[in-house]
Amino acid sequence: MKRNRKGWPEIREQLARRGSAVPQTDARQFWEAFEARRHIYPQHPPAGRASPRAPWLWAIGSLGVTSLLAAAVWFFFLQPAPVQAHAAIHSYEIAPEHGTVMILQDETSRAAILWVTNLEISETTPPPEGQP
Amino acid sequence: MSLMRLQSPVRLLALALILLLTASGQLAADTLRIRMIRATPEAADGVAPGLQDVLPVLRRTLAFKSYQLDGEATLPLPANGELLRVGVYQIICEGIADRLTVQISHGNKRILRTVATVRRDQPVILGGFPVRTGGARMFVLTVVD
Repeated sequence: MKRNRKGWPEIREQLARRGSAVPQTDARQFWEAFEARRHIYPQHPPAGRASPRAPWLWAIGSLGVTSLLAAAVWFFFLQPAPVQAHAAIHSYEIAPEHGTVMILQDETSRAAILWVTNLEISETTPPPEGQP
Repeated sequence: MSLMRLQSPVRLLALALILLLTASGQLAADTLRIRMIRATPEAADGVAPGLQDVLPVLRRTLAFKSYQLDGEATLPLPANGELLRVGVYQIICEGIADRLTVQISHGNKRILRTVATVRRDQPVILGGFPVRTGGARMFVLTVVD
């Protein structure tokens, strides 16, 4: 430790008046103690020695983000419109005897209506399952 | 907060993935609502409060005066063929809203099977089922959030 710098004697006197300990170790002892203790604390890598995996991470991450954004743009904005744009009845099967079947499309609401006339069923409480 | 300790590209990738999954999850959250309605020609019964959204289309296309809500069921879309009981009817729905297969049965007998497209604010109405007390029965299918 350099003790002959300008102003050092005044600093040492002030430290002594305040009761602060004046470092007495020399440079070699200091660095030995430093080397012995530095494993206790995590050390940052020296400047200029970036981790070799960082560029790969950036490349893969950027590629992934770009792919996801492209997929999202396609999914939300460029997907082809569905074939059937409005509500519709495509097919029907009616088991009981019945009369006329009408399929209506309300032009205002685009609702689709399947209406069966003279449907021969009785709306009574059905028997429990397993019984005829 | 282990995510905050990751390298920046990985964190970006994870964030984009989370956003995409959240957005797609929002789109996939559609629900099919099935309402069983009893329609009668007499005006005295009135209209159930829960049918106001479909009342205009019912009034435009059908000649009934009163509409009562007798049963209701909901299921997530796409439907997986789960059996629903609405009143005395059993309903099985299968598929996506674009091509939804709906089967209505009573007891052990199938009455109607249809393939339909259901859109948000564009109901599909399956009707004409007789009601013991008079009038007609119909099922209104709508897509809701």
